[in-house]
Amino acid sequence: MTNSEQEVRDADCILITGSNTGESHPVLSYEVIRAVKKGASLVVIDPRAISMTRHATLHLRPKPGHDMHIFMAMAHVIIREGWADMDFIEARTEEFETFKQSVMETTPEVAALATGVPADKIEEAARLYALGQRQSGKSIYAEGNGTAEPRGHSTILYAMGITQRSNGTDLVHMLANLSMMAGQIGKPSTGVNPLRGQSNVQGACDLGGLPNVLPGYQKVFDEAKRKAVAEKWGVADLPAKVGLTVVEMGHGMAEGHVRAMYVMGENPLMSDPNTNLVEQEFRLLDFMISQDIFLNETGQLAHVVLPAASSLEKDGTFTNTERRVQMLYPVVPPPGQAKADWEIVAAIAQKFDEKMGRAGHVKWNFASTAEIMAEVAAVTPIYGGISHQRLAGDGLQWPCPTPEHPGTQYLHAGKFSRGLGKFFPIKVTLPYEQPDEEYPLILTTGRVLYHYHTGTMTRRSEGLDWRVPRGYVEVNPVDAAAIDLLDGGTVKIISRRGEVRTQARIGERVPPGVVFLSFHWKEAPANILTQDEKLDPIAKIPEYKANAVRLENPKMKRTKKAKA
Amino acid sequence: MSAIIRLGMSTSDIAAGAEATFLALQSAVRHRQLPVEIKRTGSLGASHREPVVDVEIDGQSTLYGPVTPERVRPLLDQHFGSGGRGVSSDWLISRRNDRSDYPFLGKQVKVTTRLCGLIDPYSLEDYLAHDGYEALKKALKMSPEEVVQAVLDSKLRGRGGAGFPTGIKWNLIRKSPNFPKYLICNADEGDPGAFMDRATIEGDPHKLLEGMIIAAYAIGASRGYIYARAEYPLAVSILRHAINQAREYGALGKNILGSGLDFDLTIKEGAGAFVCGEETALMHSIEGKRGMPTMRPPYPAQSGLWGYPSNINNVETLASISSIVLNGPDWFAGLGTDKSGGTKAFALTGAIQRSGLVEVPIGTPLRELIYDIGGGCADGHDLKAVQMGGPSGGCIPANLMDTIIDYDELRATGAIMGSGGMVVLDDTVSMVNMAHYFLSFTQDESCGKCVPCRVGTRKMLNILQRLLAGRGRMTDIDNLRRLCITVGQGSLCGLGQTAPNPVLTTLRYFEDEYMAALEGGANGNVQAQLAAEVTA
Amino acid sequence: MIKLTIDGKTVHANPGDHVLDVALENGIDIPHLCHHKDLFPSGSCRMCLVQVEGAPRPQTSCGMTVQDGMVIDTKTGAIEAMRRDIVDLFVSDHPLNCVICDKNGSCDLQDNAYRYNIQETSFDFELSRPKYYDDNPFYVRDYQYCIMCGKCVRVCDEIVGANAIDFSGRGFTSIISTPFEVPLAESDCVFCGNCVQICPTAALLPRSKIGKGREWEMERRQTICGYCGVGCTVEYALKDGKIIYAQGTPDGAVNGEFLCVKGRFGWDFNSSPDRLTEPLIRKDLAYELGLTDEPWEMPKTSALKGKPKLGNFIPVSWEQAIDITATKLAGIVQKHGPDAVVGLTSARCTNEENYLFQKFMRAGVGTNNVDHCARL
Repeated sequence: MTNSEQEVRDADCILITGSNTGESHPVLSYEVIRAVKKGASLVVIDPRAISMTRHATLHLRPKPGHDMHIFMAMAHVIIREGWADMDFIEARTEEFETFKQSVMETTPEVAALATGVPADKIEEAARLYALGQRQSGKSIYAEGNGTAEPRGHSTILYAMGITQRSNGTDLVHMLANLSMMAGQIGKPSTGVNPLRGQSNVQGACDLGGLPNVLPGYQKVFDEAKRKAVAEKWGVADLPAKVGLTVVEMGHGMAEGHVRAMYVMGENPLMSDPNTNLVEQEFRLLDFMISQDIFLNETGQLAHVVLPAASSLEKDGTFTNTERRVQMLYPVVPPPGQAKADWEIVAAIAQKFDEKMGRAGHVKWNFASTAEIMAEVAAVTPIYGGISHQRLAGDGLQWPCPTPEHPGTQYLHAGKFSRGLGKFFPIKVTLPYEQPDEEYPLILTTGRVLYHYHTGTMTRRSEGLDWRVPRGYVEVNPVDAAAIDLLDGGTVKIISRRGEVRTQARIGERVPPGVVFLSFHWKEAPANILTQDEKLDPIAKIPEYKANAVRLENPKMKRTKKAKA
Repeated sequence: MSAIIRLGMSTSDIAAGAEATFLALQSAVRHRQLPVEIKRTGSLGASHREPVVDVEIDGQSTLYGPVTPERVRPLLDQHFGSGGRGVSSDWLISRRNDRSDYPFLGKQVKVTTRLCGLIDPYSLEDYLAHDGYEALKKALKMSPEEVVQAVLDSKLRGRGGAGFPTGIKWNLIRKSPNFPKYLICNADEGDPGAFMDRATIEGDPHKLLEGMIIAAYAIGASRGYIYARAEYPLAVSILRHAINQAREYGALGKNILGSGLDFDLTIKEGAGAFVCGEETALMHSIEGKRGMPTMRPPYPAQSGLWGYPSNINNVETLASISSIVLNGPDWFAGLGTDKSGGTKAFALTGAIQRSGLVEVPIGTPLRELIYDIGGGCADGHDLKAVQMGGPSGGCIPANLMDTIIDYDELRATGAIMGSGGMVVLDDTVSMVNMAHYFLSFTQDESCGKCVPCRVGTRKMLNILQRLLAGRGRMTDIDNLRRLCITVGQGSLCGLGQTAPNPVLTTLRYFEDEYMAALEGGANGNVQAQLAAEVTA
Repeated sequence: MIKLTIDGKTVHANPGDHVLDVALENGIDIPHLCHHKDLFPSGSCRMCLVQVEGAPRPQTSCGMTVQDGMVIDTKTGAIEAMRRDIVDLFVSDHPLNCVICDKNGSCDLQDNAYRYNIQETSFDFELSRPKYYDDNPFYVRDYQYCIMCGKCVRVCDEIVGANAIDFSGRGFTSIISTPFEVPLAESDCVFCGNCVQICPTAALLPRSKIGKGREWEMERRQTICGYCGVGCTVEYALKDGKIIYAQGTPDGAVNGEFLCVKGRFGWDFNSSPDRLTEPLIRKDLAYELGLTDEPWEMPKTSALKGKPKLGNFIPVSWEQAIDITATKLAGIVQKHGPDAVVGLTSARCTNEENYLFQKFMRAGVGTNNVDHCARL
């Protein structure tokens, strides 16, 4: 997030798109509710009638994959109506003109035709967002605080509904364009705020858990930076070639050049697209290590399974979605011989170096996580000032480059990280897989409130499992009627990759033509259906939010056959 | 010869059998082919003589009641047939147009109920024929400020009971910079035995609408709500009808009477909770939430319905507005006392000879109302006290009957003006029992939000029950006094704050009855009798 | 800045501040039961009444905004007497079962009864709503202990936005309820348990806590929730080394006292019997390494089908497991080069672990083939 979670409660307008905040980030949704209860306006752009729409001032409901039109039309309206913050654009950004040209054609009427969202709703959304207009109550920014700032503060919250798309990078650029043109960035309660789905997904990215960057987003191909890290680690150099992403790794197994995989605390068999293919690929491996707290689906294919301590059983730090590094403290001891992941990794690394005949070059024998963090700070500029000692209490938000630095509540204050904020010209790309006669519906995937990711943890929680014990697919009554499907009935969802059988929940939460399936249940794994061919070209993220499928009612088929 | 026969067809008339009388009258007139217009009107207020029939021939009116179906024939014979046999003086009410021969009607001064019983509430023409919507036309030629000033000068005070000057209230919301503004009419008449608002709406709905439109113009409201009791189906249907007529007439909707004013009205039916008479609870109810009071400030004029500035007046207050505008504030102020102008309507019930709806100038002594208009207690009993203001009010003993009807004078006795409920208690009534009756009402109606009201009134009620059952404890009277303070001072809203009033005033004027009850219990189940009278 | 006087002490406040908050910040203790700093004031408990100079009746300090020059007395004889009466009324329909109550020691009503030295009610005791609901695995509702402060209703509306419960009924027997008293599972309840957290009495209790120990016997440990990326601080109450219940804490940096259903109630997976407790080697590899005599082949059935099959593995010691792993990896690197190895680090592991893992992949194995489920 460019900004901080608690700033949301003071926002004047909140734009939520591609985030089922109430179910995937419930506690952050509380900040949204608090703002709304104080009179902020809430604009939700989402094909599904998610729980936040109950509180929304405005709900724009495009077909899945068609929201780019809406954002472009909003930009069009903001320019047309003179709501753009020209002072901000001139002082803080560049290439606005190119961007402006790219949206000139997309009038609200054009967008309405493409998306099915009425033009006046798009105009209203543009007005609320650009001007930060409230429903009621007083803004702490626009009035009453002595600094007669003309507009309220608007914030954008988004999640995987934007990024798990074949044009996800474009969409993120578009949201950034919107925030810059309205001057809604670099101030409290504004910004472009991705909501990260896992406890430490931010930290995993920050600290080099990506194939193209070293800790602190230092590019592996940036020789100076790479060499500096290599030197601190005690090696001559580090690999300069960008590594494989999750989906590419699987393809590498199929092609035979990837022979071993070390999985720590992940369940890629369930979370990666096109599960059937993934399983085939994993089975090709010569060697696979699964280090986890449970024997998950992936672990069953592993050669070695190593028992890990859970987050309740160890210390260390997590970095949350607002870049806040916070201390973990052990609450209970690990079961049996289970060990903290860092201890296991260190032991393997140590032994590996011995086997490779180069023990002692690189430091692996850390006495504590605090000692690891000291090394993190030394090689990671954005974490430069962070130490366990400083984190007691509320933690610290990076960038925190020096031990004296207080941390950063919101980014881009006064100046963008890259200097001038760059506008990206935008063009519309539709989802790779379009519905056709054979697969007429669009499948979108996501989470439900009571479960988490691949269900490894939540399905072993008595209460959570009691609440939602089985997977289900959301189907609109119109599509259900077409195949005589009753609420609670069994239904088959079929894509070009495979098929899933589950229970139907019929209702208006999804619009006609759209079905929603969660990926928590191995009995109905959504990713059997998703495509892994066309990823976002830059972020390499699979398009989970729009895949073509069809529904079949197994009962109806049988009766038809019987009749025939 | 022009002849009109008016028959009261309000809820109370209907309860007294007016429908059968109407059918009899209609068929008789048709059968005899009489050149008579039969007009169904609201109530004249004389509940004790309903159904009431007014025969007006060439401007000369004769009033009868109660007119049962079998009395229709002799009545028609009297005026249109062979002559006067069969018409008893027992059911002749008045032969004079000014009703000076029947003090119950003759001694009243009618402003808000002026046309009740005279006009057909379903007829806009009737209303227009009696200067209807003239006040609105006049107001629209004035500036909103001038209208507010007129209301200020009229010394009109809120008829809901608290008596806050209406003009000041209007000025507060007028000055609010926030829009939209809402105008709300509180027609949730909840006091047991009170029916002033019902009678006003059922007799002359346009008078309320006209007042509301003028109010909307004065305060800058664009939308209005009438929060009406769901238990008043006839009043609600008459109001709906009238609103449609007003829209057709151009007095509601866009560009009212060509003035550029936009204002429209919606009826919201309450679910019958007494607490919804409280302003904040009422607004929550309109918003579709549970009717629960919230703390003030913020006052509705700052943050009311859906957070927007809102103004709430009761039916009688708003029904007074057209008369103020049309006849001038000085005329209205002149009707009342120095501090408070106009008239006040009361629902006179209980052990009184002549019960019904009465409207008298502010400043009228209670004695005049009870004895001259009401005829004193029925069946030769002596007056013991008058309970004013329903469950939130208090009792005034017989020896204080010289008290005048005025907000401050009444408050000094421990009672309140209230919205107009007036229950007459004679010497057969146990005051402990009376307090118990009203307290059990408030206890049942407590919204449950704050403990003094929810639990405190229950504990008071338990004590009264014990006393009445002859099982009183020595600590009970002290505990009762203590609870009166905690509940009265400690409760969140007006309902709880005023709930102890019936107990406080009876303790003040009739402590001996409490002491007697502590020793031996109350004699007889007077409660049932009182309940029967009050709800009659 | 506004200046006002509370109990003779001059204090400063910002416009719009409420008197109760200002008093508490300045160390002036005004009793209260329905106030919560994150909720809009409701004024329902009537305990925070104070006397404002010039006001005809006591004023509710939680909902009263400060005015310049205000003079407030929080402890006049009349006010203290009224507060005592109010607690007296509260305990007249609240059983004082403190000795057997799971809230004993953390009950706001108990604290106030102690403060005003109330052993039992001086009025007649009468239960108003003896209703008990045990309709879900997360928490129980025992309305005989409810004091109708409405905090649960407000948190459900103002923070969570679920609006699952509201006041219902009228008068003495009024109660907090779902619409038409349907079971919670059929209501809009999202089981976040924030109502349980802020309930001042034993009316709402986590089910896992009932009968499991006294408040003062429990040890409390804080950490960060392991679920989504919001980063809530969770406090666990433990007895004999076992988690009894979890709750938010006012010092939570991002969440304050509030949590969601997973954070508050979803911790029991941690003690699941399915937890891995020893290193395992798949049987075919074990056979290959001579750790077992039985030949074995990996079944073809999908790993998604059926329960996790521990029977496909045999336990080994840590030393063996590490040695086998390192040997295998080293062998593959030596044979196929470092890029033949890929690693998935974890969005659910700590920064230190992620750092070490990618350091191992880059500086140990020598490849950039490291990723995790950030995109998934």
